[in-house]
Amino acid sequence: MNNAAALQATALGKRYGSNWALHNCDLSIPPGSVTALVGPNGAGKTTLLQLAVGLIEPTTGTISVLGHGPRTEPLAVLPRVGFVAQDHPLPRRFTIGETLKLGRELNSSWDDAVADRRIDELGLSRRQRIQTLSGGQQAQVALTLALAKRPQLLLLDEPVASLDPLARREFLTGVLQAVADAGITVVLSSHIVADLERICDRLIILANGRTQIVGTIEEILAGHRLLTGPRTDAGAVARVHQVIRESHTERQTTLLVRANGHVYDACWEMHEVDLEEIVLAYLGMTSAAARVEARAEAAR
Amino acid sequence: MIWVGWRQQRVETLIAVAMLAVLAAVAIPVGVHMASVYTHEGLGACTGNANPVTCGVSVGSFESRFNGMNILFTWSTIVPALAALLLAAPFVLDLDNGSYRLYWTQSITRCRWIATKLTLSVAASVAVAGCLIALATWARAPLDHLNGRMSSNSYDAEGMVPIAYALFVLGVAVAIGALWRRTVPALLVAFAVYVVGRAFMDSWLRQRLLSPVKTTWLANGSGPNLNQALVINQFISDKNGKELAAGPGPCVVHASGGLFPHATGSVCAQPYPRGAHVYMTALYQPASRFWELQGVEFGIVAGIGILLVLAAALWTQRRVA
Repeated sequence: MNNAAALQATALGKRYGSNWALHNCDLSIPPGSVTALVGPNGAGKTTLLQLAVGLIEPTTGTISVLGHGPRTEPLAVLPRVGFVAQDHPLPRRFTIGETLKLGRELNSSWDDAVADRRIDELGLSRRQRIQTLSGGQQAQVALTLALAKRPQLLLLDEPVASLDPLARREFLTGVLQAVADAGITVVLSSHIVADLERICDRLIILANGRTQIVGTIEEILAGHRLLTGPRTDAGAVARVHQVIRESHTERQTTLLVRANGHVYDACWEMHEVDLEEIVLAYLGMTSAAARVEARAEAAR
Repeated sequence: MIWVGWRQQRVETLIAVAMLAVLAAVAIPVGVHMASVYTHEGLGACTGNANPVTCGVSVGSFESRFNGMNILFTWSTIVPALAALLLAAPFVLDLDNGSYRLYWTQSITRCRWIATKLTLSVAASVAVAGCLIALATWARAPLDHLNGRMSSNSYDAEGMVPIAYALFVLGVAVAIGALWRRTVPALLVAFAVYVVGRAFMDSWLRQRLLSPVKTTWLANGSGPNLNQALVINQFISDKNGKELAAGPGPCVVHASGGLFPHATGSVCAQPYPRGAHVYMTALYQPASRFWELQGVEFGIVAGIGILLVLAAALWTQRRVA
């Protein structure tokens, strides 16, 4: 087992009934990185994060967080991991002050200074009730609860999905600040690609319960190219490079490829692609594959 | 963790206390008044085999005057049940609205969270039921002195069975809640189960918990004093306590007149031979068995409740996502 990894999954799988939410997943997240877990709804992002924090148990394989099994050694993992669940659940009847007290009661490593500073910076009063706060404020309080336990690893499940653009930006700024201050490892899942480039240095694309691509954002950007050329079959390119997406008009063919070295063919015009387009291409590929699979299933 | 658990069930606990307070606000003044009337009229002497002529009238008027206390305490048994139902809510609510994901990802194990929350709800439910018992036992003392504690007016609110039913309701509610994870339906179903369970125990099971005492006596002689006993059945019998079949049907009158008919409306009692000795037989739980009966009922009902609480804990620990 690689103790250097903040999170290490080996052949990890989780099945619900006959449906694999996560299947044969191998990944390793280095400490100090900020990793975005991207994928459509139902891709297995939540499953992976809940496995990491021990809320659910793997069906197959193993997961190790900071060198320990979250389910087998919860007290070695929980105090060192900050987790904000999807929709950031908080006790609605509590005031902010009581919510902070909850954090203090339930976490031995609780740091009042961190909590107080964040609540002050957010301009919130300790007497306000959670249920009177906006979605963005609730997300910030949930993040405060996770950060004030001084985690080494911060897991955020769709933290910004329900927030408006301004609140989203503020939330991510809060995360960035914490990372800069404490150097913690962050894994955040999202189906919104915008903003991720600003705060993440690594990307995992997850679809249909499998990892599609894992790497630093730099590598991913450098490794993908958009090729346009006269209408032709993609076969020749596909022999050398991995074609992620192809589209054709009457006279033109456009290919998004994961380039395996340089593209020498002079008839192709080569462009750089942005992250969002790469992500969408991968998701499009997997959903097309899923449709083919589903048709095959139906035919049988 | 204890503070968090307490904070989560604070509102429910306060509602339970408020219900007890309303009950006490009625029962205490009436109880004080009733006790003074009881002493003043010297009814303390009118128990057991006291002279029915001198005591009959005053006891009767005393009882009809304070019959409200019977009604009050019959209905009061719903207070610990409702309180236990409410106290089950915080546990189910956390599973229902997903905030267990918050609590289980702090630095404590989920085992500790489950244990603390359920212990707090059990403790609060038992305390509420205990308060009801204390109130009922004190306020009803004169009535209990006259009538004993075997009738459901006092049996259900005194002794220890209210605690058992509180645990039962709590257990049913948290067990259904752990499986279903929907608070309001779980609590409603639990309440329905409680009502059915109570009715079943009151009307059928309780009298079968201990094998009853059987006494047979000459019908025109003096029998045992059953005023304070839980009488299960009383019938006309032969000398050995075998019931003489009686029931509806035409009366057969023999010409010899050796049989005497006794018609009441369309129902005709079995005729008995003239001059024969007619016996009465009673099956009953004597008043002295109050604690024994309470103990057996407590064991069954509280046992089911505790088992359900443990099942809910185990299920939540193992199976909830």
